[in-house]
Amino acid sequence: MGVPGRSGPEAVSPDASQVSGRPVPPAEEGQLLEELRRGEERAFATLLNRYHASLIRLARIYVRSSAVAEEVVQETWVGVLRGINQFEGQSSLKTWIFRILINRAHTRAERESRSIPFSALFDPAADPGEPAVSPERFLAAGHPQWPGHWSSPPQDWGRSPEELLLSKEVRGRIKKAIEALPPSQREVVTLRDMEQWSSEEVCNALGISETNQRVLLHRARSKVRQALEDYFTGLPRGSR
Amino acid sequence: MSQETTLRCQELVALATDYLEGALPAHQHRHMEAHVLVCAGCEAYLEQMRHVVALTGKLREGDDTLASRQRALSLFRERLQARRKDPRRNVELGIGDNWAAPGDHLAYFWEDDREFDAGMGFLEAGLEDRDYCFVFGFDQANQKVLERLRQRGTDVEGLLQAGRLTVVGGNASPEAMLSNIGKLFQAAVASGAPLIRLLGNLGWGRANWPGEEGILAFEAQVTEAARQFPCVILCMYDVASLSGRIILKGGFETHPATVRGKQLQENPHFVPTEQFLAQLEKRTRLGHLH
Repeated sequence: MGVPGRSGPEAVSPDASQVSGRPVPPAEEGQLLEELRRGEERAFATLLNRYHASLIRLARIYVRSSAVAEEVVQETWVGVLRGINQFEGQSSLKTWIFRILINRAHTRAERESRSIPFSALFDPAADPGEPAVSPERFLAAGHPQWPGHWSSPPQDWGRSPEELLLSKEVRGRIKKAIEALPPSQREVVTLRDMEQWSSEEVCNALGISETNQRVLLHRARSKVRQALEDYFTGLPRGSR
Repeated sequence: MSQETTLRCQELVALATDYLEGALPAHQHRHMEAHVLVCAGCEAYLEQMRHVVALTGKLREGDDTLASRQRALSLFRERLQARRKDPRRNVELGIGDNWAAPGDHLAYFWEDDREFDAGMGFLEAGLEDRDYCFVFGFDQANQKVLERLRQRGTDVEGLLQAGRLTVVGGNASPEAMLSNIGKLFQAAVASGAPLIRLLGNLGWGRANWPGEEGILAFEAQVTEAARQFPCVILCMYDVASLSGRIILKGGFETHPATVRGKQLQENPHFVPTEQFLAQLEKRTRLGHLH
């Protein structure tokens, strides 16, 4: 067990927050669980390094400020430490931790805005969804030759994602587009594309069906794509 | 692009994520592939969708949570230290950073909704672990406790059904109340409760509850009874509406420790049960003489 105050190999590390997408083998998870129950600091630091950053990003979907998001995440860890003895391994440790977060964040968000029942925001029916691409971009259904085909097709952006990301502006546009999404879409796209979870993990954590998950993901990705396309189309020709 | 391709671009766009996820039936998947081969617009569209996925995946890079993770780690260390300081105090109270010991009978003084709410932390800490919890008191208070728990995010119905949370009402006889609670605690231990928590809102001056002297005698005996079980009992004292005598004799003289705000403290005003009951009886006798 780590001596409090000592910084050793079990301390939190500055660059380990990028690995949450990696699935954890069951044997390793069992051992981690044992160590957590014994109160070993190293095991807890492992959890922090794996999930803390992801938890904060997810919490930001539900609450207004990053300060509150941080509080919700700290509360989540208390919940994890309290509940570790009753965790029965029916889900993965990861799913269980994120469910605690989602539950707390929902409760917190509801308390923050009593006037709007938060559940309304999560009702898929409350967001009928728009088409992925505006119908105006396609030839009308009555077109004699090419009904439903592109009238104004998308243009190649001409650069790889790596190149695109060098632009602060591009990063900013994507972030803004994701932040503007309805929470149900933002949850799915955050977990799937940002945290790179599998669709099965996302469905388990959010309690939604595979189909529903794909619908939400499609709407979310479509809106991000549209935001980027608007940005690129707005640029002067030479800088594209 | 040929008219024979039954798939229109507009349809492909709607199915793009299903396609990229590999969720389409094989024949539809093949249609998509064939369409993209001959349609530059759709090829560019799908490429853009792939870009969006890749770009989103890179967004988290550069998020710095080191300070925040260190705060979580200190929280973990504080919990360990608190438990090491006094290993007997191994029950997280759930109010402030306090740790209680099995067998504790505590008075919690509250005077407004916010403080009542903070008292719910006592049950939540146990419900998040494996503890069995009892909500004991007059109906109105018990309903308020359940409502507050629900609003704070506890799955009240699920826990009631699982037997982890039980609502217990009062009785006109202090002896009957005491034996009822004893039986419930025995049953909880038998079904594997590692710890029992009871949150009490006693029905002072309410119908179907003992009179003031009866509840005082009950409170004094609870201190003894609590020591027989792996339990922590927290009695809520509403200082805004209960009489001074009830706060003094009920709150202070029958509880070995008290909780006020976020502080759990040994209580110097506590009177040992035998002595308290003797004083109570003496006063009642004198009362009869008047």
